[in-house]
Amino acid sequence: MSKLTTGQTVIASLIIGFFIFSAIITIFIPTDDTDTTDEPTPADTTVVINATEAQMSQSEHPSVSPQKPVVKTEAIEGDPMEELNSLIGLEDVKAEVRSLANIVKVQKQREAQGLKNTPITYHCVFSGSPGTGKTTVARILARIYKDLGVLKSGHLVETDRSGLVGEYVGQTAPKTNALIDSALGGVLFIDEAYALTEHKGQDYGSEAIATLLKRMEDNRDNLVVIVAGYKDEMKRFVDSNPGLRSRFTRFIDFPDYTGEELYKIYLMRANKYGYKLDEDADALLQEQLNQAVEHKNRYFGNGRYVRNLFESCVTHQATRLSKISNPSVEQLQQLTKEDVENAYKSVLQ
Amino acid sequence: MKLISGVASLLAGALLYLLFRSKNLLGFQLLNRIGAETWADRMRSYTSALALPDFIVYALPGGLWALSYILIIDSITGKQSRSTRLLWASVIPTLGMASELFQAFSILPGTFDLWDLVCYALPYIIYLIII
Repeated sequence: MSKLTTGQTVIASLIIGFFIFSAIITIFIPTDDTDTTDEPTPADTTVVINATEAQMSQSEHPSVSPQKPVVKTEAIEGDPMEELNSLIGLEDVKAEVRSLANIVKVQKQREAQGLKNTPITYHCVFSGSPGTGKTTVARILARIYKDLGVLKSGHLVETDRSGLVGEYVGQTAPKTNALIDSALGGVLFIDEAYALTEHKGQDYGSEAIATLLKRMEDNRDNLVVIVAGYKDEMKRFVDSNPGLRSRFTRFIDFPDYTGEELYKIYLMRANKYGYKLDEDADALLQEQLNQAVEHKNRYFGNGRYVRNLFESCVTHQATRLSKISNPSVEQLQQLTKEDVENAYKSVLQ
Repeated sequence: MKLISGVASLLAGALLYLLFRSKNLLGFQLLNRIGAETWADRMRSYTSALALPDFIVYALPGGLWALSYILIIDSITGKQSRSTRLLWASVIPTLGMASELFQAFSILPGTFDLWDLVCYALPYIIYLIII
């Protein structure tokens, strides 16, 4: 190395530093970021997420997710039932989860008294559009299972097809097995699980399913699997394989949010970050959310749409305030009709 | 020429991150800080329907990163002896491979992937052969 001149050595060192810096920013995930807006990362990161926060944090292109493959989330803190109740809307889902929790609870009590139990399945199919809170409820359910002694740790390992399926012959089974190993004692959440059977061309999805089914049998005491996706696709997915059909008998349907529920989610978010809507903005927001719901297609992001709308409002507010030299506290908090209007246009684009 | 190729390789890798990788990464927070997040989001929205093979999204950027370094550093060390060039060029690929091995032993966060390792090593192996 000494053959380089001092100048060259300095430049070379700076280049090395730059490359190390670029590696750091593309590998590391800040763990204090509770806004897990996007898909999982290749890094097997551990993040504790508050359920209500998670419900609020959604993104716009939910159906397409090239990023991932795995996110591991520790068991949620606090009372899972409280978390469940704090979710906006989802009344039927809450009732389903409560009833599932009650069954498990009574089964455990019967077991303690030496009474026989009918076998119940803890595995679930969560069906519904993107951004309807499926992952959030899966986290809560994982914690409920933990509290009721069904699972040891209650963590959630979230993945999709890409986290299970390899690219070449012989890669899929080890990949799926490794992922399942990381989920033991908790819940394995497979988002857009139908993609395992609907992939065109060379495909190892069926190998992943076979491995999964075997492990569900082998680890029936310490593994719960939740598969999630659009309703029709999930039905087809479960029906595509007798093994899936016999193991996934519990369906929980997540309906799309109503305009009013989306409005509440928006307010919750605004409140959390210290923003207030003025009267005109409030009225316009309600109107726009109702309109968005009315004209939605199947890719509508529900909670994620609200998050994007809110973020866009904040951006437009900042642009507006940049023209004021010394904005007051009130101005910094206030979202106006103009902000909402521009945000709506931006999100529509 | 080497320098241009190196920068192009780096940009290609960065673009893969920008368009296809998780927004939870620290890099996106930095983009957010400099006010480029909306721009990045717009770029991502154009490519959101593309489902690239995992290899391209996850392993290739590492390979491009290593290649880029080798090309850029060689533009400085190009007139030195073979051993000096090889030594300087080995720094980043070695770090990349070490980080991957550390992941295998859970010393660093992340999931070990053989293809990542291959991608870090390959540019250096080629360099080793051709210089």
